[in-house]
Amino acid sequence: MRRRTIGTAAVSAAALGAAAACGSGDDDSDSGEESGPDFSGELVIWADETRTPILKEYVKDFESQFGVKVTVEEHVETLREDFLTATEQGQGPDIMVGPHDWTGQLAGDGVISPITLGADVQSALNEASVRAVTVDGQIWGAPYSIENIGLFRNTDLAPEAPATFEELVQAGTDAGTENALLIPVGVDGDPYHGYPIFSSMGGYLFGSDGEGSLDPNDLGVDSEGGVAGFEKFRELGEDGVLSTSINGDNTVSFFTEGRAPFLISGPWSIADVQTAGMNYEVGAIPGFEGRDPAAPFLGVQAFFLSSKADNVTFAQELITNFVLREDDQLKLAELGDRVPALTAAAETYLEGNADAAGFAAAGENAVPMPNIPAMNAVWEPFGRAEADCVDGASTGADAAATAAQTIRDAIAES
Amino acid sequence: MLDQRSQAAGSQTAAGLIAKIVVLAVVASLAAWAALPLIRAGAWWALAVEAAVVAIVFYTYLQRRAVPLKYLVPGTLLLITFQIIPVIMTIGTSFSNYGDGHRVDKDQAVEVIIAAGVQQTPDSATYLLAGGETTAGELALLLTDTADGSHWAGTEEGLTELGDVETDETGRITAADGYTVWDLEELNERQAELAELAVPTGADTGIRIQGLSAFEGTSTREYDADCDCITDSATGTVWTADDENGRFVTEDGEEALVGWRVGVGWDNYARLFTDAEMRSAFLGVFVWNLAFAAGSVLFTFALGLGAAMALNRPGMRGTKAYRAIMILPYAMPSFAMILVWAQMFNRDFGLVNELLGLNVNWFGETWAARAMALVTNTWLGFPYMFLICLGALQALPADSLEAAKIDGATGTTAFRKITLPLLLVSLTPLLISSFAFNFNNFNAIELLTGGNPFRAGDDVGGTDLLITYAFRQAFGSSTSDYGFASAVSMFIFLIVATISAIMFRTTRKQEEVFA
Repeated sequence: MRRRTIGTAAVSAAALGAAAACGSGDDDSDSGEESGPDFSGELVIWADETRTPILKEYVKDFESQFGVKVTVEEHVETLREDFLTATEQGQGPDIMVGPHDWTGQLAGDGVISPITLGADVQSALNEASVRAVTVDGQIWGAPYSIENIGLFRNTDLAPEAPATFEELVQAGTDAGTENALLIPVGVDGDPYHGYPIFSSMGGYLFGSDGEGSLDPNDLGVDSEGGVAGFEKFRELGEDGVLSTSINGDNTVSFFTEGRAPFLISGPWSIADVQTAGMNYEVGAIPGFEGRDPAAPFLGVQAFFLSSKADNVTFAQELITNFVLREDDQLKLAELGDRVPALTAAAETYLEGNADAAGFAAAGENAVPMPNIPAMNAVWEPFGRAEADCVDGASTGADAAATAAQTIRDAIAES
Repeated sequence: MLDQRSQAAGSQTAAGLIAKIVVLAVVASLAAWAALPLIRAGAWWALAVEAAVVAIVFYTYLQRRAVPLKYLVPGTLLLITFQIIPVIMTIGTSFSNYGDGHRVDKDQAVEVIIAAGVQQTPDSATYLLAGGETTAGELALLLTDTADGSHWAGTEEGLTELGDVETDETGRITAADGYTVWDLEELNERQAELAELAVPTGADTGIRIQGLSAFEGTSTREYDADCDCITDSATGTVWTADDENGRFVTEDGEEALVGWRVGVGWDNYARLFTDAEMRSAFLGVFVWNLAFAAGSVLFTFALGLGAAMALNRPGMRGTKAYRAIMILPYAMPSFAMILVWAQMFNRDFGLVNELLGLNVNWFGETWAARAMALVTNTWLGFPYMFLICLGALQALPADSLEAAKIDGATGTTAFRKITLPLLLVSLTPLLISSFAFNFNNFNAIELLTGGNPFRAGDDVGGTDLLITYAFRQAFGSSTSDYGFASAVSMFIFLIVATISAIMFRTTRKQEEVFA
């Protein structure tokens, strides 16, 4: 018994030491002990599992140009939580690469620092991508790529690109497959993939506050268009076009199995569809006849500067200068299969890339996914209202009203 | 390993002594390793705690008396580290507003709010930045205008144009008369000092540095300690600190972007009890939670006992094969199994609906979802009951059963009057622990239904347990409210503790009856 008990005591003492090291606010314990000033000579970037391999390849140029070691650390699934927890304790990386819709939350939690981009830099970027990282009139991250969902069409089953959503449903039904269209809904609803339908019916989430930011007090979920959107979910559910048993786990495989001629999904599905060796095309999601265009959400990947960065100079240089150069954006785009945020780089990238061009066409009407913290209150209630409508458990008006009420309560509470 | 240890505890063998020295040396070196960052950070209280822990460990194992202590110390230390400290911290958090929007302290909140007021002057010059000092030791920015390539030195007095300078290939100054120019590393290290340096270029504009560049800009926001407020000179907004709620608000009640952590007293608990919606939700979850735990125990026990009785019959053939099959659900990882069950209950392509010719929306209807949760959990849990029942059955005294048979007790009566009571004596504690386990069976619900079904606007799902509900409050919908979630978990802790206390008391009574 004894040795083991001593061993555990040692482990707990070590754990105590590690915990204490966490609180000490500098992460150079491995290298900085002997030298006086605590320069670690290492820039740390945190990213998710998709972005990490891309960034590891990408930062080599920066390393050689400035003689700084750059470490990219992968945080699977819990990047945002990890970053928040580490940074609020004075730990964490210099830079975090993540989607723009976290901006409001990260800024409001005081864990990222704003950056300044000159007017010329801003105008060279995709206009929506700059809006996407703007909160409270200030830019908080450097956008480097944009993505949105689009319509995958199995060209063997549906040779013609539909011009309206009605045509799409008709073509899907005519194809005689098990499903006309595959849109992830799931038991919890899927606002991200459902938004094009919602927006085409005139629905919106947050109005503008007139200063380039979104106004959490102007909620469009139960607006006239919003109610129409939920009614449409119900109608499509009744017609069997939408179903809560179709979710993110099975849509792509059903599509590649030929169970439906249409799939609404994003660039992350390209690889699977290509592997299946089918004939397909990517294009815009059509809107309903006589209604607004179907606007998908625009997702922007951005570099954020930690408010606790140890190496502010190098981190700022990378974020505000390096990644915004045309060559760099192009390199990131090619490594990551996403359209660059920099307009000039995007033009080069889209030439001869049919899939990317298809998504770009689908993204023409895209609106940045709301980046204010209030958006966190939207996902769940909106999704449940959507699922209820698709299941026929609730009328569009009821679902919209309940969801809007829940969202307003949650916003007022926070 | 084991006998080395016991030797060390008893007599001083060479191996035992060496083991002791090695382990204590490891403790000492770990302590030294952990102490360095503590000293550097000036975390003296933490250092004191660490020293105390090490002292206790060394004292305990370097003396020959107080043998019980040698067994108690590690357990006690672990108990404190992993049980008591988290509980104390949870209690502490439940009295704060810690959560999104209130993560940092006030100083950091002020810092970020002020930083968000920096604006670049339109059409102003941008510069490549180098840092350095004048010969007098004053900090200086050494700037290269990116437009015309002119060179400037910026100090507290303002900008002065430089004559002869050396630059690198990008145009950044590497040497200038009268200045020591830093290399990039030093610039990076001393960034904070340079950022503090105010280089005025106009009435309210100055040079702002960013990375290896600089630009002319203004900072429109200022914090005033006297009024404890932040003023934005561009928009005229004044945010005053609200120390009770940890945020800056304008007179109209508009909040500044960042808030900070403060104690909010009993607010979180008050919210639990005053919010009518929350209260009814809580009651509903509580009742279902009890039913889920009780139902799981009942069904798994019934099924397990039935299977065990069947296999325990004399003359039953192929028991080994049956037993292996029965144990399968127990042997497979429940994580994977639960996900498989979730797929089987899919309304449109699930096995259950297809086999039985049903069209039940298992995840969408409250009672269907609850039935599904119980069915799945019964399947996952019955092999355990089967195993312990089989063991208990085989250990039953044969003479009691025989006596009952002689007295004319038929199968059912014998089971009801003899077998079951005898079984329950040994199994009740296990049933109670099974109840406690299922009361907090997070995995079964979270992985199977995730609390579904939710009606639009519901905070609580039809199959939510208290534990899944609390988890969602803290981490679920990506807006975290740790303060409130801590209050919820304290509440759950009280409920579970009360139920356990009552049940253990009942068990003791029952044991007395049967014994």
